[in-house]
Amino acid sequence: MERSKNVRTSRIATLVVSLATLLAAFIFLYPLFWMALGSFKSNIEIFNTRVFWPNEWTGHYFGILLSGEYTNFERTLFNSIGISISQGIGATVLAAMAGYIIGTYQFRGRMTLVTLGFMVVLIPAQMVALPLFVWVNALGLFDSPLGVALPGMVSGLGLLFFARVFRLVPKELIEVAHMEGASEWRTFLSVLPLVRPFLIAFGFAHFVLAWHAHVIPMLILHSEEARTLPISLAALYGSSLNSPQAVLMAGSTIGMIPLITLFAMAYPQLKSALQEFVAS
Amino acid sequence: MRSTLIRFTMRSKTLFLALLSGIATAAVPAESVKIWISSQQDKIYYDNMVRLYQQEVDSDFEAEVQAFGFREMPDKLAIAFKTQTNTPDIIQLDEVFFGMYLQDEAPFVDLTERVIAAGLMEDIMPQRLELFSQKGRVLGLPQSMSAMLIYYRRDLFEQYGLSPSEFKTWDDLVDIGEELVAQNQSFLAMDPSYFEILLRQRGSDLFSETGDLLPDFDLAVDTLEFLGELAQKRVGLMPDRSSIFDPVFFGGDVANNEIVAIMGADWYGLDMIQQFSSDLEGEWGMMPLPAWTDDQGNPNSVRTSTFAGQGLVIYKESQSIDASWEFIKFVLTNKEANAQRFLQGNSFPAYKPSFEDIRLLQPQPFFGYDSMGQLLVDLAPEVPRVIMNPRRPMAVFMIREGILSSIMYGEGDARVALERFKEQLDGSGEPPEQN
Amino acid sequence: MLRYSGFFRINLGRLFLATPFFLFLLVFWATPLGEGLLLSLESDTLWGEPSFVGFKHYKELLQDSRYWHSVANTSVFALCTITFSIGLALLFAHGIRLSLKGLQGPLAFALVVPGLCPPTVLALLFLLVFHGKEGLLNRWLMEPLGFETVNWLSDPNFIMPAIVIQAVWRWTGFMTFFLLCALNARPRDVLDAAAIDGVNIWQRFYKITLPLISPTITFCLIYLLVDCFAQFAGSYVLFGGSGGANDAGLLLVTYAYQKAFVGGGFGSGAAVSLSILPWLAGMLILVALVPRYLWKGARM
Repeated sequence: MERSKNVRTSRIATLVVSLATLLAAFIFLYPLFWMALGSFKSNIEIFNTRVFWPNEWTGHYFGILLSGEYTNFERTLFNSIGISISQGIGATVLAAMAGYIIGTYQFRGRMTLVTLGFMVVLIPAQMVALPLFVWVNALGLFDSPLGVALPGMVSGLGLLFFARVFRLVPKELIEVAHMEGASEWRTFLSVLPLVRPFLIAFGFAHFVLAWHAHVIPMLILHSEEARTLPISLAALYGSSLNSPQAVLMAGSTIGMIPLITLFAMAYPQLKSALQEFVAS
Repeated sequence: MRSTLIRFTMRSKTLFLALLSGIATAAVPAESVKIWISSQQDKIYYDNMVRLYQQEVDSDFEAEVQAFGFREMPDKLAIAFKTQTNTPDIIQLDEVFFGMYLQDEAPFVDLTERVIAAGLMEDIMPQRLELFSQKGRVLGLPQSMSAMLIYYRRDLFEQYGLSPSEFKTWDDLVDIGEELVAQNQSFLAMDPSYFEILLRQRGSDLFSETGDLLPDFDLAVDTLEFLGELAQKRVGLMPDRSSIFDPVFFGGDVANNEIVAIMGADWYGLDMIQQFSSDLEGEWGMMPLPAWTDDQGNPNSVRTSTFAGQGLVIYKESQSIDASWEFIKFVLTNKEANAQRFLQGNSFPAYKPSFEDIRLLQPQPFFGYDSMGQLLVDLAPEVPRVIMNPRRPMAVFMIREGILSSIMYGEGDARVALERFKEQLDGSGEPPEQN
Repeated sequence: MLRYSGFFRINLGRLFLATPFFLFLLVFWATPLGEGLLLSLESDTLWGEPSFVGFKHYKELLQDSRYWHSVANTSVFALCTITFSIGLALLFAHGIRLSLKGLQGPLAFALVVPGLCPPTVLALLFLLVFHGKEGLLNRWLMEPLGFETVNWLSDPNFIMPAIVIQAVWRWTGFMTFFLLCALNARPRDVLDAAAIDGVNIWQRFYKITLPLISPTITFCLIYLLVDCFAQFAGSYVLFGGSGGANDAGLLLVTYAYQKAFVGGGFGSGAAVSLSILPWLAGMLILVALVPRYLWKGARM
């Protein structure tokens, strides 16, 4: 009797907690629902917060979005994807390689390099945006996606993360590889599969950060063809409140699809990577 | 120091590029005039103007019009000038931001000679022509008259038995306002810009010609106190977002009839009211500002004022100065160009010959068949000047979002607020160049 | 798990692996940083050759009341965001773990989604959410709960809370996800032993869970702190570079922006930007001591 009562109470408790958490999630997502619904509304409807459901479910604004009247949507989406992926991959590659050395070996000056990585975390590129702009321009990379992607591959967080990650790798594997006469590069490659989930986790995280980047892309990417999606959409809001804001909302909603999809795909890897990482 | 580094970098740049093959840099045709605009709506207008210019004057003219956010454009411009990179040729700049470039020698072409040669000294309203100038040199041409009007709701006037002729002085407005408050109705929407607008109407300004802030401090205090009084008595109503330039204001306060009137410039009515209050077509009317009175109660001020307004300037180091000049001269003087600016809901021109264009004077259905053009033409001689100053952008910015808002919500002491404002503005930068 | 402690010789392979990162760092981070420092030592000339003014901007900042105000604001902002975000995240993480199995994944996912949205496009949304009488937050949350409507964007008392709310909204999801993983990573045997021994929930949390997840919390703290001190996007999107009435929302980054773009002084703007570092470092040290104290307390 006692036992089944406990089971019942705990089942009720589970339901209650589920509902409460569901409510919290709903509150968090509510503004985004609003944004998605805004893709169907006229300006007057959007700016009147009493109107929740659009008057009519018209694809009109999606049409305007894709027509290129206000922003070259396909192009900017493509730019965002390209620049963010290259940053994700680039940052992961650089940080993993350097993190391997720092995490695996002890050597003089190691602490200095770690501190340097930490400094990069504390001084993000945004804080030196103007000098970076001048410098990137001097390198001839103004208005070029490389002007955003290359600087974006420096991730201090990545260095610290992978330094910690490679510490988890059993040193026996390294020793064995060395004894078999493998070069450092080969040793690194052999160890890589072990840390695959971490590579994916970090790559994804950096991809998201790159996608969101605002200051640097705004300075460096000037022409419409070069811009990233968030910047291009934001210009719609700033430039004239007379333009149909539903276009901005439609663009933002669609723009979130790659991120959400990637997150959904990477979710299991992210979870296991983080759990392993924390357990260490 | 820094330029040495840049020069060194420039030389090693070629080597660097040779190493990293395959980097493409965007190449813009050198002949194309680059025009930077600060709104998407205006871009459409200027694209049309480029086509018109190609048709009527110069078919070889090439231009590239780019629109940026209202806030984004001055940012990009400041960076372009600071780094001397990616600079435009023609810029459409708001007078509020213009002051920022007056700290030292302004990076704009001195148009004085050309303006005189084209006869524009007489044809453009003098107080608007002097807006974009430094030390007596004309650096830009004004796009709009920017005269202040009071836009009122015809239907609400009818409901309360009011008529424009009753609003001869600000005292009249306060009296009528108090009667309305007794019936639970506020009269006038308020906005931080009203402080300098009213100050200007009374003959003073934020800055003096010698660069002093609030030269007539007592008048400034009195004006701010007046606004505070309006708020306290609920004759004036400050919108939620402390701005009449906020679209939600139209969906909320305006749609709910919480205010009867808004003080705004020609471009405010043409642009914002027409766009965001389109369901109230025909219910808006216009009248001049009430006058201020002297101690005997006699009106002693003009019946309009001014604030903001765009202008066209040419970058000093532009490679196409003559082509740029011809184009902006065209936009400012061509009959069709001026008419289109008004008809497309942008602004009313400051170019006097266009005052006779019937298209600008005809009654407008949206405004209940009033003629905004006629009213503006009548008020044109009274439009006061704006005294430009390098600290003007910062001052406007601080007024908009700073200490004065609490006064306009009806709280706090006006004198203290203005003293703090003065202190902060004086402390936040280098002393201004003598303008 | 120890680091390989054999004799470490620098060879080509190791150099090849380690160098690219630091090369990029040198080119794309160190150089602009150096330039930024030089810029902060120059006069505020917008167009034309600037002159060298040494530490003039920094000295002016020390006397500037608005600067100190922004320092205070940023600190308050950071502390509030950390507290609420991590606090809520802990709550949600536990809530998710106790929820129906099938819902757990979707719930964690749903909470993260606001963080996936680029802040740059949220300006319009925030305007609608944080508006006064008409705002979504007021109409759908405050009023139903019986509170008076708050003018989030104009009332100086509520401007900072508005900025905190938007930061918490964007970050809690990620924090929840991290803490969820941390909670899942706790060794089962320790928890089971505690349950059998009859240790109550609060003690279990304070003495066992907290020390175990404390490195994760530290990581979250650092991440949030850096974001609050150095990121411009959130508050820019809310207030467009302004600090709000009475500068209630003036953050260090906002002030740097104003100095540079409204006042036309890039030198002083750079000085403000670079001055963020000592404050951030200080706050970091302050905040990093807290978990250490908690952990020490748990050990006892």
